[in-house]
Amino acid sequence: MGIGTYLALASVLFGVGAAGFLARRNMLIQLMSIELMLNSVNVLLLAFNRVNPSNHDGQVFAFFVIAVAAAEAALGLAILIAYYRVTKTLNTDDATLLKY
Amino acid sequence: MHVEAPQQILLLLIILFPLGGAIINGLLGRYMAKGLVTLVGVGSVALSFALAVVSFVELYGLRHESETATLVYHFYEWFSLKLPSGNVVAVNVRFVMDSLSGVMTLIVTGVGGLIHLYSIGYMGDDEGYPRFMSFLNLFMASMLILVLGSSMPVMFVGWEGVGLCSYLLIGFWFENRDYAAAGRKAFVVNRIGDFGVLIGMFILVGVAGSFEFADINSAAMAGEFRPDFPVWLLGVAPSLATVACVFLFLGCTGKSAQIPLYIWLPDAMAGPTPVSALIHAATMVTAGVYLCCRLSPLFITSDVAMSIIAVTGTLTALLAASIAVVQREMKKILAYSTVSQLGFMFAAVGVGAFAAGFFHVFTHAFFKACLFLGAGSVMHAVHAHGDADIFKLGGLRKALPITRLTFLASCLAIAGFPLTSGFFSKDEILLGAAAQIFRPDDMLMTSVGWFTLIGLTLAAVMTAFYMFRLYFLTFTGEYRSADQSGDHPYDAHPHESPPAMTIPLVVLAVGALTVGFLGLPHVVPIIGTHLSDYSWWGHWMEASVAGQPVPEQMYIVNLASGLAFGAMAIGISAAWVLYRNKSTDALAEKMPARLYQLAFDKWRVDELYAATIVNPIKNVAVVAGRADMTFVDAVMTKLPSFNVREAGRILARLQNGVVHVYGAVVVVGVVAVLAWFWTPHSRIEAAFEGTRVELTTPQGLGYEYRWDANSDGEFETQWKGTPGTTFEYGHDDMRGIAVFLKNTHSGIEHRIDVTDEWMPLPIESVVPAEFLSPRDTGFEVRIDGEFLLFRKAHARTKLSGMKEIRLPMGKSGRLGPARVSSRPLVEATLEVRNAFGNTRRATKEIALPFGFEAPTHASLTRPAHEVVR
Amino acid sequence: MTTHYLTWLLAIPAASALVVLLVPRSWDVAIKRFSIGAMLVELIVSLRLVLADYSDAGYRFVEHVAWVESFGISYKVGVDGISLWLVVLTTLLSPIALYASWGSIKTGIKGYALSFLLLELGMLGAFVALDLFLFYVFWELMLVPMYLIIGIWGGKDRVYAAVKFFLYTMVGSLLMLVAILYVVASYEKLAGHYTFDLQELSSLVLPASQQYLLFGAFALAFAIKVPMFPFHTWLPDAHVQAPTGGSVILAAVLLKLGIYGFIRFAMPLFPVASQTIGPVLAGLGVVGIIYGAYAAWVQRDLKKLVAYSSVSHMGFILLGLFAMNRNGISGAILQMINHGISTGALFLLVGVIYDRRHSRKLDDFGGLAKVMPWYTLFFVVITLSSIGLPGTNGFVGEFMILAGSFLSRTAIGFGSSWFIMTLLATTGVIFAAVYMLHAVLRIFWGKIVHPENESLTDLNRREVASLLPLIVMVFWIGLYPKFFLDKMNPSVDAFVTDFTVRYYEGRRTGEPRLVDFEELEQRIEAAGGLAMAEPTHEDAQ
Repeated sequence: MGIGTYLALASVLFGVGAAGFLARRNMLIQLMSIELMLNSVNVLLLAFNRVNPSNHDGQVFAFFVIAVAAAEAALGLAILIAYYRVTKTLNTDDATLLKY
Repeated sequence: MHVEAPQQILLLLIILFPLGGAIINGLLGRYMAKGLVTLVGVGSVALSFALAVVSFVELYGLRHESETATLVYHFYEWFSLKLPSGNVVAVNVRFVMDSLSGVMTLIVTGVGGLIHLYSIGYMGDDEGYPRFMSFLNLFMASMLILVLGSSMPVMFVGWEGVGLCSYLLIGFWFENRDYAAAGRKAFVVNRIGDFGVLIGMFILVGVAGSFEFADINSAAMAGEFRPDFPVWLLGVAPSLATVACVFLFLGCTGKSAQIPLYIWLPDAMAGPTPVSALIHAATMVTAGVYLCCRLSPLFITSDVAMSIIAVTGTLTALLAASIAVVQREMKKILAYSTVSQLGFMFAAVGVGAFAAGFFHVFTHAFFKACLFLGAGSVMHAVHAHGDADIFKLGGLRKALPITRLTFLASCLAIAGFPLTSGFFSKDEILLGAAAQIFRPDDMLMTSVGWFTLIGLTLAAVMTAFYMFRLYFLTFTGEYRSADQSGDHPYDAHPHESPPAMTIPLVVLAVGALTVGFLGLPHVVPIIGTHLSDYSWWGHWMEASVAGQPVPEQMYIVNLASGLAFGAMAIGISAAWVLYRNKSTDALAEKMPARLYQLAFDKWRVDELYAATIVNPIKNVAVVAGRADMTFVDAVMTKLPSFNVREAGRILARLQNGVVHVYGAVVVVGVVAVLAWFWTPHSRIEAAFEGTRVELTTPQGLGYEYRWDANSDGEFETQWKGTPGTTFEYGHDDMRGIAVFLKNTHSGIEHRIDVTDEWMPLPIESVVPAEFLSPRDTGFEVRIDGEFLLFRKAHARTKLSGMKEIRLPMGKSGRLGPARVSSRPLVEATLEVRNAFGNTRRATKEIALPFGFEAPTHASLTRPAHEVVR
Repeated sequence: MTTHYLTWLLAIPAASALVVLLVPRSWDVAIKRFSIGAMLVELIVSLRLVLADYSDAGYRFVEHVAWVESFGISYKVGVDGISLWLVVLTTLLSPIALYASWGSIKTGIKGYALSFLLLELGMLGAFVALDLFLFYVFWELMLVPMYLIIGIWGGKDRVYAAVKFFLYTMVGSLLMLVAILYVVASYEKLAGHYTFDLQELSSLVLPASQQYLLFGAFALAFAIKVPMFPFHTWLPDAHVQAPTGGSVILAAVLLKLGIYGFIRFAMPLFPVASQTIGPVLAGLGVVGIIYGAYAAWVQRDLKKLVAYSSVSHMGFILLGLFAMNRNGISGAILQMINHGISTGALFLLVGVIYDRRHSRKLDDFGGLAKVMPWYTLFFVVITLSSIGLPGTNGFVGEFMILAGSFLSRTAIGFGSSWFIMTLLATTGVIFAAVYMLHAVLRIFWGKIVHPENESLTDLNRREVASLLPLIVMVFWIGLYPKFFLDKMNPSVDAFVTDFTVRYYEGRRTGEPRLVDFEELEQRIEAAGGLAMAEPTHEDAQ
């Protein structure tokens, strides 16, 4: 398979993630959409690593992304739970406390 | 020959004694016994008088050795100014006594001393007595500085100092706010005059290069003030002397109460009577006349200024006299009389009779001080406070015999009764005016002479009339406040004043009758006998003031004397008929009521000033005060802060806290970035090395380039990853010639593409606006082969040069303050391709900083000129 | 070492501030005595500066220590005839202002004394700094204590006034910082190293087009500080709200830093722009003279009246400064001292009645001469000084300034715009009398109409002690200004010559370049000096 296939896959994954993030109002789903976008980047990194494997930079960065995504998911979910306890909702339209 | 005696410490002591007295009484007077206060206050002035006499005698002695002898004391250097010429002018605290300031010093200390003496009796019971003495002493010191100061700034110290004392003494009874306001009015009006003195002073030092009176006068005599004033004033070109004198005279009108600034003096009568006598009659108000005499060589260089002074003086004399004729209060009448007499003095100065004018200062000091002190004595006797209404007095000759006699003597003197002092001085003034009439070939001064002579004669009639009106109503007839009925506020049993008050009266009255003989004219009118070769006064003054020769023709002398005598006779007779032993205002019944009222209201000049000057300024001030916190503050602080706040409010709306909106913004941003990368971007930069041109462009990721350096449609390079190329342009690549004009004055650069038509150059780039005359149309340029031709298009600039100048291609030169360079234009094209396969083309016109060798036209074989300004 | 006086001058307030910071807040009396004592020591140290010989131009007591070498920032200080008297003015008025404050400041003594010590440090630092970075640090350092003094110990609307003061002055100084960095960067391009040293930077000649912008940035900072019309509106607010001591320092010293900045930095660095824009600033000064006087006349609050009179007086100083000759500049410097003394004293005097009556409204007074004769005497003397009566300090300064502006051009005297400006400025002499005597009339003369004024007490010892030095200065400068002028004239003469040479060099240049001015001036000197003190347009071609 050429790199084009991986690029297409990553683009689709990213598009799905972005659309999900923009379209859905549930924070949990939005968090998942973000993970999806991060994963599309991972696919891309790994694909490029295969094309140019000299230092395995792509793989290293993919691990970084996974680690960051895990940390983000942990923190994000913790915040979500705390938020849900207070407001009994996860609808983002109601979560506008951080406005000016 | 100029003789200067060694340092005369006495001159300093004359000033320091009263100054010390002022300080002691001012700071400690409250804690000292009254006797001690008197001793310090009067004693210091007495000492000062004694020293003045000693100095004067010494000066008198020196006069035998040299006509221009002076006494000098150089104290210390005050500060210095540096003139544009690079000379440093030291402003010295230096005192000089010459014939003019010597006489003035004697008047100030002598008459002043008598008035101090009088004040013991008049003010002794006032609780502010030490303060009063202190202020009077301070006044003496200031007046002496004014008189003795050898230069303008030192004189100005005294000039403003007497103004200050006047302010303090007019408002002496400060609990009456009207009095205090009168004091303030005096100070402010005087300050308007001081404005003129300051400006005048700057002109003097700018021209003469010195502040010293002596230097200014010699510069004036050398004609240095004759050139035109360098600043365009309302379309006329007065001489330096005229402008300087007019500004100085403005100062004199303030200090000496002339039109238009006389309005403060009548109000100044709010002060205690000795103050009126000392400051507002005998000494301070004559400072303006003194200044004119001091600078007489300057004043006579300007006929225009002299005319203005003469006319102003005459008008003031008439106006004030016309007001005095109908007033009811003693001091007010005397105040207007003072204004009127000052008008006489200025009229004299204006017709060039400086010595006569100053003689009137001298005699006036005696009789006017005596009159004021007499009025004070009357008020003291009847317990009048502030001022006394003469229609409620009358018949006081029995109760106040000494006062009455001295008052009568002074009235005779001021009216100009023959052989009294006023007779001689007034006669001299009229003679001076008459002399102008008979000056040949000078329309201006002849008409001024006529005007002055007639005006002053009329004023003299009125003077005699109102003075005797005052005398008759006060001292003849019955005492109208005796029965204490109605609104008669005065004491029923008036009594003569104590000796401390009557002694000065007697001395002054004797002076008023006799001092005129110092100015005994050299010819007796009508008889024509020559008494001497010259009058003593005229001779004494010669050394200090500019003088005009007194006419020898008997008819002029007779005319002046006749007018003076006639005026006196008419005035006194009229008063005799209307007011002797009368109690009503006969004049009021004979005059039209409205005219009388108008004159009584002082022609409503104060109201006129209020309506036309004071109130408008006040309104502007009110507007300024309000606008500052509303308009200016709003524009400068509220508006910017409002802008910041509102901008913040608008931007804050974007921060709405909804995650989707933020996400959408991110998407928009991503799309924008992608769109920018979709097509390649480039720009061409050129660097020159000799005749080779290096063409470069910033390198972009994944870009490929190819060049068509001369834009002829054929690419010189193939697609390649490196951006730069070099190219050598030839004559055939030229697209035209451009001219670059850089104004080195302003730094502005212009570029013009030149054709073979004449075309104008933007003028501001070639010539700064201040070098242009309105008719300049500037320069034109056109191309002729490979030369640029410049020519002036109807230019009348200050720039000189050839009619046509040529500049070879690729060279630069100067055109006036502009730097001109002519450059061949070529065009480079670049095509860029990015990783998406999109291409874009960029072109750039490049102005080459060099020309091409090979000429193609035969005309170019002519030798080329480097462009010269 | 005998020459470290300037460092002592800066170290003493800094160290004293540290000490005050460390002692407990309850030691009121000790803090008062200690801080005033420290300021008096400052005064003595600054008087040592006066003893030096100033008969030729150049800096004295220069100290130069590298600070941040990679950026060319150094600790460089020095005084010359121009800054000398401003330093002394600062050290004289600081203890007076602090001492006089104890009449009204009863709470937060520690913070107040601390603020004053830091304020003194900032002002002195700004006057003696010869390094642009150092100057900027001190310049901004002054703002904070003044902000606190107004904001904490001020009147009713103190917070508004303090914030306005702070923001307004800050806006200007930030632009100045940008301009400073630009100058330093331009210098680096040519010389190859960074420096903030004023004397080194002085060799940089920038083309006219750049000078205008840079001068504008500097001028804005300084014009706000002066304050020049129309940037003055922070001043009345700040003065009215500030406590007495704060007003005294604000008027007497802080405003002077604006003018000082023009002389020391803006004019030598950007001579072409100064020469071109100078008349405009002088014109605004004249507007300020008249406008300030008008506005002062109609004020009902005495402190506001004095504040507007400051606007008027500072207009005179601007006029003299941009006349660009010795008379005008020496007059301007002298007038800065004069204004510091007389306006400082006026604020002290306003404080005296405010402490007694808690009012500054003219309507609440009248007839005070009866009950407070000494107060009246002091007030009238200071009033006379303020309106420039000959014999007092105000006259000499105003006279020199007006002479300077009148004689600013050709040998005979004047260019027409300067003639008209002088005429208008001189009318300020009239209006000064109008508004000051108006105030005197309303406060002192007449009968006592408010019964609560009957029992007012005259000046107490503390008030007399704080006013007396100022009265002495009024007459000293008024009667023998030569003592002060002799120390500043050589520096001013050199400044004018230097400015002129810089002006011509600036006019000639199209690109930034470096010029050895010292050498150039020596050459000009050898060739017989400059023909005329001021540049004219004809020479520009």
